[in-house]
Amino acid sequence: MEKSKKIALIILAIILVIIIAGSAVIFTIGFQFDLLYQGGKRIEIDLEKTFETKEIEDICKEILGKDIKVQTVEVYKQSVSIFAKDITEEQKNDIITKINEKYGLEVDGSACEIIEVAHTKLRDILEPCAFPLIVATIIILIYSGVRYIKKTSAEILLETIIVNLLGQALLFSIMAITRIPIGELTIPLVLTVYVLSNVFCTTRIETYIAKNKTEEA
Amino acid sequence: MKKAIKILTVIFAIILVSMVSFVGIYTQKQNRMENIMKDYEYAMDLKGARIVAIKPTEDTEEIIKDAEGNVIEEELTDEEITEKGYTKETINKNEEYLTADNFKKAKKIVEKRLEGMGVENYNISLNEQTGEVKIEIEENSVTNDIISNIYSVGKFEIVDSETEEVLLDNQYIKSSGILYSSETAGTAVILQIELNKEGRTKLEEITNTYKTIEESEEETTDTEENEETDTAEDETAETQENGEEATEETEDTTEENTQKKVSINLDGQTLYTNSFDKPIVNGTIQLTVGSASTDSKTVNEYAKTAAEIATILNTEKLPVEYEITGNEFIYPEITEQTLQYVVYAIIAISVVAIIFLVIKCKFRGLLAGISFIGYVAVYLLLLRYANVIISIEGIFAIAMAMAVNYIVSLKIAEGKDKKDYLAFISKIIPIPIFSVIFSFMEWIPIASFGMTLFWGLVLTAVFNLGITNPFVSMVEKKERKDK
Repeated sequence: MEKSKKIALIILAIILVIIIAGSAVIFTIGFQFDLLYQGGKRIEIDLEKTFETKEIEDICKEILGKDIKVQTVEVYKQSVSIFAKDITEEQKNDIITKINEKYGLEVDGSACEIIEVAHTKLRDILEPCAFPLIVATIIILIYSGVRYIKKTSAEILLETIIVNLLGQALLFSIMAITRIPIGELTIPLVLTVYVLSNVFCTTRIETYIAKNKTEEA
Repeated sequence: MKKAIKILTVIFAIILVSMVSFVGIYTQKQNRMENIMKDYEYAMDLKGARIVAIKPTEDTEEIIKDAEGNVIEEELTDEEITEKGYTKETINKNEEYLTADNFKKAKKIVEKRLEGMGVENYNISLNEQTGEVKIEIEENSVTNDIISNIYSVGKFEIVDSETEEVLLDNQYIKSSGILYSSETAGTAVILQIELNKEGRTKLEEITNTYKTIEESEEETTDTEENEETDTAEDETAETQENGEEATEETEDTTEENTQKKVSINLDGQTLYTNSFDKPIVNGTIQLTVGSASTDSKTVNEYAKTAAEIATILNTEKLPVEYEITGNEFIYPEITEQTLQYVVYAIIAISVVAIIFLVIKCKFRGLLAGISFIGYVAVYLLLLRYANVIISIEGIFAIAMAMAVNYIVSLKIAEGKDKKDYLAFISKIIPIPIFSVIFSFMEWIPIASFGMTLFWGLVLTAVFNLGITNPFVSMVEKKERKDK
């Protein structure tokens, strides 16, 4: 067996092992979601003055732990939204007391409601990009069919689909194993892997054609 | 000597463009310096979004139950309840509708309405336990109008104006839209509701039953001046069938008591009350929204109202009544500081890549590196002036385009021949194909990815052909001459 083929087989085997391991993680533990996507509780405090997000973040970390998100709310940047997996009434009051002390405010704790935030499903995140990717795949398959079928075989179309599926499966397996959270970077990563998978396919086909030409010559 | 001058001129031009692109052009405006360069346009993942939360309305009532759990209808005081051993419970009147299936259906309807109103860039999530739907939409001048329409129940009914008997409802609607009609008084906006096959038969029956009585028609006076369109008090309205004006009545008509009329209601609010001049057989209801006007602003307002109603009618009615529980603008999780870190990372990688170019291709590599900086500067200017919306996906696309340009620059610096370029282009052909397809998509993150990549690739072709290649080639000729 050629050396390059051996390497390709080893890489394929590694990819399959990662996908199997990833699937096991997905079906047992599931994906790790970014805090804003996994759902939790949120409080919103109107400070009526501008503030440093970092300062509020430090206060919240003291009370709620490290896993929190602090975001500025409303255009005048005078309100803050604090998001955590769980916020108790006591923790909410502690946060407000500390903010009042820090900024010399008199924010009333009873006016701040603890809002329950729903978990965002992976399907909801991926759904909008399904149609563009299907359209793009169909067009690339037509292109590959027209350009390469005579020079290679119809199998290349199937190979393009398999490489795309393997690429995405590998991405999500790595995300599941390494606990990279599903969140704002998921779609950009899906798109990048998608483009690279297709570039990989055309590169492979072009190299194969060039090699055949050289051998024929 | 001439070559050296040419090289220096190109280098100065690249420095100038880079300064304009990376630093900006500052002019004095009202005692302060202001950058006159156009700013980047960001998508909502980078500039923030309006986050709206809607939840099923809690319509509670107190019921009294006996010891066996039977509901007691009679009104009793607290003392009487205690005396008789009854219990008082607070229940949600909509309890039976608060199911996961209905919540999912409501989410789908909200999505359809958003799409119907031309909102493609949104994120939506559902809490299947509480039914709460969270929607993230872009902040602009129409955001408030959009929000007010997404959670309307959309209950459409044609009812007998006296008995309130429902004659026709949402299930008979096939589609709805708006039309414009030119009249002597100006342009009229018409809300057209097309009914399905069953609805068509029903409408024909209704229009026969609620036909205008001849006597009243004689006494009818034209009521063109009635401008109120969407209030319950509005007794007069204009209804059109196939462009013809239907009967209009006045409040003073003596035969009013004998004339049977229908009311067209949306969410319990009466839009129109009238009778029909002749039977409608084509299953199309045409309702004039407002009155004909020559003022474009007024016509646009009416058209907006009609379009909003049409969007609601084009979707099913919400299975549960919803109310807004949250509506605020939230700044993005990715702050300016995070973006700065991303920029620093890209700069660091670019510096390493240019050093590699210099080591590999010596002076040609240096020139290719300088040209690469020029490419990035022009690319960033192009993104601003081509109004490309930058999202996180767009940032990934920028990195991808820069990588493609770097490979091309490397090939130029290495002095590869035309055949080699063509082979490279053949390998990366999916990238331009995807960039074009994605550019035409309406969902902003994908469109941003496509547009950013598209301009990056176009510039790669133009810049390398027009600048990098001739620029680097100058050295080649110089080196040969020196030899």
